[in-house]
Amino acid sequence: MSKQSFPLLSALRTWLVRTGNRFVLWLYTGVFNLLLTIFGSILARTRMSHNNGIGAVGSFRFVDNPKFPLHPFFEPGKTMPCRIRHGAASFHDDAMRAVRSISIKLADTRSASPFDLELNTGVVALFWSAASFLRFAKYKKTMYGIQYHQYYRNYPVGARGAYAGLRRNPTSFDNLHYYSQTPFWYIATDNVKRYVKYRVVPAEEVPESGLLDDYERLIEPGNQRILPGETRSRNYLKEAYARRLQQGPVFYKVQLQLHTASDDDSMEIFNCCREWDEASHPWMDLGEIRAERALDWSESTLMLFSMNNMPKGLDALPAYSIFDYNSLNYMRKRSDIARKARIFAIKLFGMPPEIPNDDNRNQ
Amino acid sequence: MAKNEKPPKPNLKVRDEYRECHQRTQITFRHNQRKIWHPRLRSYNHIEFHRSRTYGGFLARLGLFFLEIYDGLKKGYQAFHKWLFPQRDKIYGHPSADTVVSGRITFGQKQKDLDVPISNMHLELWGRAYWGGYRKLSQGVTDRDGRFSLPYDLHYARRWWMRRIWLGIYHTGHEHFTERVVRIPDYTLFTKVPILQGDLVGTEMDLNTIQLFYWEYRQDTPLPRVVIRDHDKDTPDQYSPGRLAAIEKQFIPIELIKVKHLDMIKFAPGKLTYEKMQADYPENLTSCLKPKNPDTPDITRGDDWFGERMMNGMYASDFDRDPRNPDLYWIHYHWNSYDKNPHYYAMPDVDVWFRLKPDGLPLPVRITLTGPLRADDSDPRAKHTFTPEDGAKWQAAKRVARVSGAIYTEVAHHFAGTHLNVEQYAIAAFRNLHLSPIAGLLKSFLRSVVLVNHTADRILVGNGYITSACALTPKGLDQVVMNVMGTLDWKHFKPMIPLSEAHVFAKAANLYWDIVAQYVSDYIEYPPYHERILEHWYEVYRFSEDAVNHSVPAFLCNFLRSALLDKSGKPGPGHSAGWYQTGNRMNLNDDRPVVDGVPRAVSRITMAKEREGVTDADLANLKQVCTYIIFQATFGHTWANSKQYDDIGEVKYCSLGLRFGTGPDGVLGPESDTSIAPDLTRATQMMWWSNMLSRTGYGFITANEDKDVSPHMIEALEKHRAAFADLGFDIDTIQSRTNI
Ligand SMILES: [Fe+2]
Repeated sequence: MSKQSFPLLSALRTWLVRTGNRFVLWLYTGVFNLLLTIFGSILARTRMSHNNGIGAVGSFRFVDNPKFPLHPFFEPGKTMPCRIRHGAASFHDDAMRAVRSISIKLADTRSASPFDLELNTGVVALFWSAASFLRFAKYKKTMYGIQYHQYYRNYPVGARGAYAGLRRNPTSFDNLHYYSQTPFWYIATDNVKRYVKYRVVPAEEVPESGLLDDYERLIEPGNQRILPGETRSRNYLKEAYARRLQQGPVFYKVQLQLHTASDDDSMEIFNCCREWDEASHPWMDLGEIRAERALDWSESTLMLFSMNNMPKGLDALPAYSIFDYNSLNYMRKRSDIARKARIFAIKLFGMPPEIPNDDNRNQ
Repeated sequence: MAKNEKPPKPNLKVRDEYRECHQRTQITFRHNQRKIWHPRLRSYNHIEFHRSRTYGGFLARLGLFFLEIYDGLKKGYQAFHKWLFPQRDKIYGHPSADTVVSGRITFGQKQKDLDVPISNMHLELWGRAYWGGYRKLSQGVTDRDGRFSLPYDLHYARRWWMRRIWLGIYHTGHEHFTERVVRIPDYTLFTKVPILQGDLVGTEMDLNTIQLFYWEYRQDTPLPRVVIRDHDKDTPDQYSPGRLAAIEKQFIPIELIKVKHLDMIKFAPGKLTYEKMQADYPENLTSCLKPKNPDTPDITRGDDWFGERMMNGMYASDFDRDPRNPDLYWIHYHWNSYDKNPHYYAMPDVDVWFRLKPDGLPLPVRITLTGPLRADDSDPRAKHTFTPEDGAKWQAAKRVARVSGAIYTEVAHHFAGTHLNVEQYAIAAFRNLHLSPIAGLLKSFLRSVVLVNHTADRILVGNGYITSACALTPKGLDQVVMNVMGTLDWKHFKPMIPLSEAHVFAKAANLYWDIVAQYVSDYIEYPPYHERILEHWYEVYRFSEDAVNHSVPAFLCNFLRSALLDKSGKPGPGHSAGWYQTGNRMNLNDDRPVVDGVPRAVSRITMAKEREGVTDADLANLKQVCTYIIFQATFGHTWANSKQYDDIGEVKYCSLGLRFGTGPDGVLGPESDTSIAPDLTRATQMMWWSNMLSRTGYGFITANEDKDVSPHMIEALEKHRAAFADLGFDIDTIQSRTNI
């Protein structure tokens, strides 16, 4: 019997399948967050990744004459207090090959903010959906500074993301390029549905440091160990950044790319492992960060960034299943409980120790 | 002879007797049925010339009876299962190019083949539901680099009711042809690669390099042979079920006779005589022709018979003219350069000269034996020449020549010339021909040959029967095989030119060659096939490269090299003198392809990888090589194989080796001296051999038991049934594959 004969039945079936998919997404991400909260946030008092980091405080100023339809939150020329935090995933050793990050908070607080952004090095990501992230977690299997071996073997897209995002011994956090990779809503005052991707680059054009050269690309992506004979310390990058701030403020440009939604958009537009074509989606300046003063270890550690801290119309896109590319942000949005539990656990059990400058490398 | 003078007919009386005995002893494959009380053969892989693996005990047979019931039930269940859960040729879901399972398939032999991709391998991505249903999720083929990328529907593959998912790797086995003569590639599952359902999360899931241990070349021999890791469980090819059932029925009665004889030799010495032993086996052509009256001369020991069998019997000899006397024809079996055990068996070099009679059949006029004829002779160069005037010695010399010819025919024509020759093309074909219609043209004819060759390694060559029954050591036998293989090439091959009207072997061979050549040409020129052959020309290129790169070094013996070639290695005045018969032999004018600095026996088919580079000569080469392969795998093998029973089916007439004997004349003693004939054990084993090889059979072109021979080929052959019958050759006996 064809589906056309019973349109109601067909609609019911579709509804059931969709609801089922959403339920599975809710369940998977819920269980994952629960485990993360218990084992990561409470027992270990750590972030899920990016524990190795340093914060800074300063201000954010929107550009005067933006070249794109404006969202009400983006007021030209407006200046807001701002905090940022640079991090590295997921080892406590700056000389290891790692993805670096910048998290931005448009408020001088540890948590509450109207707008948070989290960005990583690499124009594309290492995973693309909640389902792929769960595989990523499953195949982590860290040993002596090597991890995700099986994951990269199984998923060339993940390996490509790793090569795009890993940085070896950058000279400073402020000369790297950071990307949101995943798209978000962008509903401007014209009410046209658009999607946005963000990036952060140095305000002045300087060459990006730490990019993987041909030699580094011969090393399999899972191998993040320090180079033999490495003389840089475990905290060299954080220390270099703090020193840089002592010399004067550091400026970053925040830029965005827009895509106008259309009915014939492929789902691939949401795939964070695919970059948007820069010719049709040019990067446009949104504003400038002025970082003035480094934060100490404990203040840096007590900061939390959340995807729930986003104005309406700029927030995460809806997700319908664990395979949906947007399920990654759905998952992040639901992980606030883990983030808050970490702060609570730190208050209860004390601050985790600062990373020592010892010879205990590749940790 | 004047031009309009008709050649005289051969002696009619002899022909009539011959025809009658030929009829009586001809093989029908309908008798020799296994009786219910007969023991069972474990499998064709377990035949042995000592004692094959059979199950004879009552309990074992009872157990086997139940096992057969179990097997029957299992087959029934499998058929029911197939009916209940069909594997439909339909892709479920909506595959997306953004969600793929990818990987690369290469051959899997360490150090040798690891980086050699397998291209055009058919792949299917399957899922199975908890309730048993099969769902095909995707299909495709590997590219030239062995890589594949199969788009599938992620949401469908991850449905909750999907129990497991796997990648099926299929090879094109032999082909099937429907009544409507449509070729259907027969995709047979080669292996399954399981995939964790949870690993399917979108974008690209890479299965990485999948190494298949697939038609790998052996590394322990310079011959192009395939690796068979386990004859029962891990073989690149399989016998068809019909073939296994047929061999068991046909073989068991023969095995039982041999076992009885071996038991008599062991437990009742002296009870078994050569006559009794001979009588236990079915009557063969020469014993049938034995006169009832002892005073009547035995035609099978006569000179006419000798000449006729050398020309048209199992021997089907290559006749050269004598370089020194062009009126005479010459055949020779030279063993002096091969490793031999000189103490027990006589194995002199044999040269026989013939005169062509007016009826067109050869008559032996002189035989020269070079080497020891008695156990106490030691001079390997001692020449002994005999003519018909030498009476009993002449008779004995003919027997030595018959036996030498039988060993040579068995090893050179039969084993090396067809079995191993066909195997080298079978390996190259199965490794590389997948989507090209050439796969459909060849594979049916190439089936099973590697399996039977593997059995022959154990029971015929190496430490098998031949080295136990004649002076050749396993090393010597290997040398013969290597040298013979070094003389075999498809390029410019033509069957022997008939020496006369009576040369029925050559006439039948040429007739058959022309039929196959026409069939091959029609097949390759058929527009849809032609287009696809060009489209997948890279397969032909790889086929050619594998055949050439693994071919043995080209070989020409020292004598022929100095007699035929000039200093530059090209045919010289000796060659153009015309005494050397070129049909059925490697063309000496052709340049040999050089691999690793060594000129190889097998010629290249093409240098072109792409259709754009394919020349008319390449296509002509392709037709020639296909004709050659089919010819050797069918007619070539059938002739050498099926006539063994005629020519080595009577121990005292001919065998696969002669002892020096204890008489004063050594090996030249009379047939009645049983110290010359093979001992009783080897004698019954030889009878078992010739019965087993000639009197069992499955897989004939006209019978087409496995429905894998093209009806066009059968039709073409049927059209010439009468012409073959006129040559005394029954087309129903032509095997469609080299499988025994
Ligand atoms: Fe054979």
